[in-house]
Amino acid sequence: MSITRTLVFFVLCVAASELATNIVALSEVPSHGHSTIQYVDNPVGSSPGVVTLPSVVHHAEDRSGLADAVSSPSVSTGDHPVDGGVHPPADPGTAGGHGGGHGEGIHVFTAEFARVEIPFIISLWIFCASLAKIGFHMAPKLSSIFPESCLLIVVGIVIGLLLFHTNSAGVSPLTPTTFFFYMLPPIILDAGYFMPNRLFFDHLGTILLFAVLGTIWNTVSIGLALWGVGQTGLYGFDLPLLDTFLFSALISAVDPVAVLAVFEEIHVNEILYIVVFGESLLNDAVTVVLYNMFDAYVGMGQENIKYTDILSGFASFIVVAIGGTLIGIIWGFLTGFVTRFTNHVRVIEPIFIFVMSYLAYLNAEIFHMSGILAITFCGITMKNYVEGNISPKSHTTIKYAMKMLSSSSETIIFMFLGVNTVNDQHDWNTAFILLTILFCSVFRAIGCIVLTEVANRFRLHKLNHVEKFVMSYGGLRGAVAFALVLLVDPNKVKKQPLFVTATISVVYFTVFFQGITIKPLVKYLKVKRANKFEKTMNERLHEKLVDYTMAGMEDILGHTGNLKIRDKFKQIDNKYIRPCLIREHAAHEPKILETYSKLTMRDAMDFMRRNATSSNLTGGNSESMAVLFRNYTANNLNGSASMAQMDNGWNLDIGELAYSPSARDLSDAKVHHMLSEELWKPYRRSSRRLSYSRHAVNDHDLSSSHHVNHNMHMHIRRMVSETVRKQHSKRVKRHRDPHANGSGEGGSRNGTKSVSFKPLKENGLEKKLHDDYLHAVIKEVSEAEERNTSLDDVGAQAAGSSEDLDGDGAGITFIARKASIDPVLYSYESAMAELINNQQMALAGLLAASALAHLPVQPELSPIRSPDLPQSSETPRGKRLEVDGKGAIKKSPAAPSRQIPSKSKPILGYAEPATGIPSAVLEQARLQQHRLRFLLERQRQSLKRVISLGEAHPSTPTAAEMQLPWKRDDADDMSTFAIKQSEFPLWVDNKEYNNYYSPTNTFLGELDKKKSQHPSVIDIFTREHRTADLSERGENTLSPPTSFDVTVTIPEEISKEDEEAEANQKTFTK
Amino acid sequence: MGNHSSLLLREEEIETIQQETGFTPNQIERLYSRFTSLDKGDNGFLCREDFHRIPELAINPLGDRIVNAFFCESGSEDQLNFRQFMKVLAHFRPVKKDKENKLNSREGKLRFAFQMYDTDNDEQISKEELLGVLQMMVGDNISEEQLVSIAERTIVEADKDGDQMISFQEFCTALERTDVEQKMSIRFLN
Repeated sequence: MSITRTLVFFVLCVAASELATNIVALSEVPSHGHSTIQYVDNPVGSSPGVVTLPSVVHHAEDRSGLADAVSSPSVSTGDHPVDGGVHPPADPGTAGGHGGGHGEGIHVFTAEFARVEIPFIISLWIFCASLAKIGFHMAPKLSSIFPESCLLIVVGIVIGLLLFHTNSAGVSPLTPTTFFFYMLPPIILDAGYFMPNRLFFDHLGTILLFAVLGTIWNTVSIGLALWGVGQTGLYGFDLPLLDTFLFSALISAVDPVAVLAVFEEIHVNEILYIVVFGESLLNDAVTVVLYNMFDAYVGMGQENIKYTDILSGFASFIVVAIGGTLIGIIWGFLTGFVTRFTNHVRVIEPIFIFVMSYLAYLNAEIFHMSGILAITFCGITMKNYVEGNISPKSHTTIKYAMKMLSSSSETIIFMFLGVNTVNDQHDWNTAFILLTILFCSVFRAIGCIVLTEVANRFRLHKLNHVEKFVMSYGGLRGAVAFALVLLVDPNKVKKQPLFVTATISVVYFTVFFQGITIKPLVKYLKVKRANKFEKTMNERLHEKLVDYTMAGMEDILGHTGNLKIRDKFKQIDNKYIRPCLIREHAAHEPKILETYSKLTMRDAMDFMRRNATSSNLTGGNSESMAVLFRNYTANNLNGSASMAQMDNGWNLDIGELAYSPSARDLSDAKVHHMLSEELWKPYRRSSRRLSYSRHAVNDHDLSSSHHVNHNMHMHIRRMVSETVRKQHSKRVKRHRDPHANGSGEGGSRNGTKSVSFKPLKENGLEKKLHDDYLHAVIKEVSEAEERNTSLDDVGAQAAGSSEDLDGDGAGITFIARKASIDPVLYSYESAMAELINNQQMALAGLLAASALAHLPVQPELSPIRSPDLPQSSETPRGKRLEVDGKGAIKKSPAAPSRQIPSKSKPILGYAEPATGIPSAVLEQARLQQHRLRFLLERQRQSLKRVISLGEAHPSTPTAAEMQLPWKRDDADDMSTFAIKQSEFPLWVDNKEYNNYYSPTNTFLGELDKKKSQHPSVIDIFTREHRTADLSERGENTLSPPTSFDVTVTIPEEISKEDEEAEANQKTFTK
Repeated sequence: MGNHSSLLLREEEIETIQQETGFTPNQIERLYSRFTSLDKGDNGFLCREDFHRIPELAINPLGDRIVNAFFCESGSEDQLNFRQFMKVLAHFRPVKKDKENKLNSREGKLRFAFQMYDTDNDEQISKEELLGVLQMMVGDNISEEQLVSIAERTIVEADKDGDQMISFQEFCTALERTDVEQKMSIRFLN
C-alpha cells in the first residue's frame, strides 16, 4: 500500500518536475510570452491535437547548452518515434491535474487517458522496474550470479522488444534531459551523502589523480588509437579526428551508476571501493569539460581551432571543477544553516536536504559547471551539520527516501538502457565496436598501472597488483556515456548512430561481462573484502586518539599531511562553522558520542530482544510444569543446583503456582487475552487517526518494535499461566487453607510482586530473578526440613544456606546470563542473613538490597561497572565478607556497583541532575530500612509458603480486583518501591501500551497480591494515601534512569496512575 | 640546511640510528634538520618548551600527552636527544614486510598509543586515565557524567578480566580489527 503510494508520489513528483522544467527551460528564453509561442510553435505541435511527450521537446535542449538551436526534435530524437497520444494541446498544466470534465454537456462517465498519459506511463515504468527488482531478489540464484544491473537491462530489452514489435514504442524513456535532471541527481546525492568522508578525503589525492589524469589519458589514448586505426581504412569509412575525440571523451568516463551497482555487490575493501567510486564521481567534471570542448571543436571545424581554444578548454576545466565543487559546498553549508531552525517543523527537514542539494545540482548546471561534483560535495558537506540538527526520525526518513530514490533511479536507468537498445537506428560496424571495447579495456588497464605507480609514491598504503587489476577491471561504463552520446548532434557528427551503437556495446560489455565476472574474480584473487562492522567504543576512542597523535606527530615533523589538514579543518570547524550551523553544538568529537549512544541503544535493543527470545517457546514447553518442578526440586534436594535447568524461562513463582481462580476470573482473563491480542491493531490504527497532524508525526505511531516483544511475552505468559492452571489448580484447591498469613503477609507479598511487576512487562529477566530467588528459597526450605529446624530459625538458616549455596556454587555451571544475576542474589542473601543476625539496618545490606531492587531493569543491560559511589564503595565489601566468607567474596563487588550505573549513566542529553544527592541518599537509606524489613518479612513468608505449598491463598479475589492491581504496584508499601519508580521502560509514556498491557500482568503476576488481602474500601484508601505520600518522596529519591531509558519525570507519572487506579478501584469495589 | 645538519651528525651516529630505527640515512638527515630547527636553544636536546613552541601542537588537544609520550618513551625527564627523538619517531615508520623492526611493528605502535593513555605507567588504563583523554578530546561541552559513562562503557567493553582496567593485552584485543599499521604510520620523506 505504502509502496504504491510512494511510487505514485514519486511519479507525480517526476511528472510535475518535468513539466516544471519544461517551463523553466522555456523561460530561459528572454520573454515569457515568446516562450509560450515557441512551445506552441514547436514543430511537433504543428500537427493539430497531437503533442509529443515533453521528453521529445527536451531533446531540443542540451545539457551542456551547446546544442544547436537549429536542431529540431525530429532529428535529435531520430531513434525515438514520436508519440501519437492525443493530448490537449499547449496545456502543460493538465498533467499536474486540475479539475475534471470540460467540453460541452456533462458526461457521467468519461475516459480520458491522454490527460494522465505522461505521469501514468512514467509511474507504470517505475512500477514495472520495481516489480522486476522484486523478481530478481526472489530468485536468489539469479541474483547471486548476475548483478542487478544486468538483469534490469535484460528486462529492459524484453520490454523494448515488445514495444518495438507492437509498434507502440511511443515512449522514449531515457532522454539526456530526464537522465541528467531527474535520474542522475538522486544517485549522486545518495553517493555523496553517504560517502565515508574520512575515507574519501584520505584518498582524495589518488582519486583526483585517477579522475583527472586517468580520464584525460583515456580520452586521448582511445581517441588517438581509434582514429589511427581508422586511418588504415579498417572501418570502411572515414572518421574525422575530432569526432573520434568526442566519442572517446564520452566513452572514457567511468560511470558512477554502474560502478555503484556492481561494487556494492562485490564488497571489496573500502580503499579499493572508494578509489574506484570516487574516481567515477569526480571524473564527471573532466568528462563534461572534454565533451563540451570537443563538441565545440566539432562545431567549429578542425581547421578553425586555435590553440587559444585548447587553452581555454583547460581553463574551463578548472572553472567547471572548482566551480561545481564550490557551489556544492556553499549549498551544503546553507542546508546545514537552514536545518538549524527546523526544530519546530520536523516533518519538513528531509525536504530541505533533497531540495537544496538538487538546487545545488541545478545551480551548477546553470553555469555549465559540473552538477555531479556540486551535488556530491553538497552531500558531503551538509551531512555532518545536518545530522547534528535534524531529529533521528528525520534522519531515518532521509536515509530511506534517499535510498529509495537512488535505487529506483538506478533501476529505471538500467531498464531504459535496455529499452533504448531496441530500435532500428543501429549502425553496426564490427571492427570499430570491437576495437572500442578493446581500447577501452586496454588503455584503462595501462592507465591504472601507470597511475597507481605514481600514486604509490605518495601513499602509505601501497596499491598492490591485485588492487590495480580490480581498479582497471572495475572501470565500468554506463548510462552517463549513453546519455551523452544521445546528445551528440547527428547533423554535426555523421557517425552518431554508430557512436550510439558502440556506446551501447561498450556499456553492455562492461556491465555484463565485467560486471558478472568481477565477482568470481575478486573471490579468486582474494581481494581483501570489506568487513562491515560497527565500531566499538574502544575502536572509536582509540582511533580518535591515534588521529590526534598522528596529527601531533606531523606537526612535530613539520610535514603537511592529510592528518594535519584534517586537524586544521576540524579546529576551524569546531570553532566557527559548527556553532553557526548546528543548533546544539555539543562536543568536539561528536563521533565518540554518536558511537556511544549507538552502542548503548544497541545494548538496550539487544537486551530487549534477548529477553524476549530467551524465554520463547522452544521445545521445552511441552514439558509439563509438574515435571519441571519436580526435576527442579529434586536437583536442589540433591544439592547440585543446576541453575541452567531453570533457564528455560518458566516462571515458577509460588504465587502463581498457588493461584486458583474462579471460573469467572478465568473467563475474564481469557477475554483479556483475546481482546488484548486481537485488538492490538485497531488500537494502533485509531491512535494514529487521533494523533494525526499535518506538521508532526507522532512518534508513537512509528514505534512498532515493542509490540513484537510484547506479544511474545503475552504468549509466554499465557502459556505458562495456563499450564500452571492445569497442572496445579487441583492440587492447589486441595491444599487450600485459609490459615492466612494475614494482611501482613499480603503486604509483603505485594511487595514481592511489585518488585517484579514493572520489569515483568518489559523483560523476562525479572522472572528469572524470581526463579533464582525461589531457587534459593527452596533450597533453604529443603535444608530447613532436613534439619528439622523450626520456621522461626529461618534467619539463621538463611545465613547458613547462603553459605551452603556458595559452597555448592562451585559445582554450578552458570550460563553467562545467569552469572550476572547471581552475585546480586548472593549479595541479597548475605544482606538478609546479616540483617537477621545482627538485627540492624546496616548500610551494606541496604545497598545490597537496593542493588536487588535495581536489578529488574539493570541486569546485563550494559554491564557497566561504574565507579563506586563514595558511600557504597567500601562498606558492602567489608560487611559481606564477614557474613559469607567463601564464594560470595569474589562476586560481591559487582553487586553494589550495579546500583550505580543507573545513576551515572544517563543517556545522552538527559543529564541527570547531580544535585541533592546527599539528601537523596539519606532518604534512600530511610526507604531502604523499610524495604529491608519488608524483604525479611517476605523471605520468611515465602519459606512458609513453600513449605505449606499452596496453602497460602485463602480467598479468591473478585474479578474486579483482578482488573485493578496493575495500577496498584505503586500503591504498595511505599518504602518498598521508592526506586522502582524510575525504572520505567521506554514505553512508559505510551498510555495505550500500558493500559493494554496491564490486564495480562494483572492476571499473571499481580493477582494474588490482592488475594490475601481484605479488599476493603478503607484498605484501599489507606494504601492510596500512602502512595500519595510516596509520590512526594519520590522526588527526593534518586531516580536512576535505566541506561537506555529516557529519564521520565516519574512522580507525575505515578500520581497520574494512582489517580486512575483509585478511580478504577472505586468503580469496581462498589 | 641539509648540509649543515649532516655536518653535525657523524657517520657512525647515523649508522647506529639506522640500525636502531630502520630509517634511511637520508631520512635521518632530514629529521635531524627538523630536530635542530626545533631545538631553539641549540643545545643538542629538546626540552618540553621546544615542543610546545610548535604552534599546531599547542592547540592539539592531546599535545601535552604527545610531548609526554616522547619523554616518557625515552626515559628522561626533560631532555630529549636526537637518538631518543628518532626512537620515538621510529614507531611511526610504515610497516614493511621484509624489514621487521621492533619499534614500528604493530605492537610497537600499539604500545605507543597505549602509553598515551597510561600516564602512571602501571601498564593499565584506568578509568581516570581514560577520562582524562576523553576530556581533552571531546571538550568541555559535554557533561562530566556523560564522559564518565562513556569511559565506563569503553572499559567494560575491553575489560576481559574484570579488573576495571584495560591492560595492554586487552587494549590490543580491542583494536584487533583496526588497521593500526596503516593508521599509525607516517610517510617519512626520503
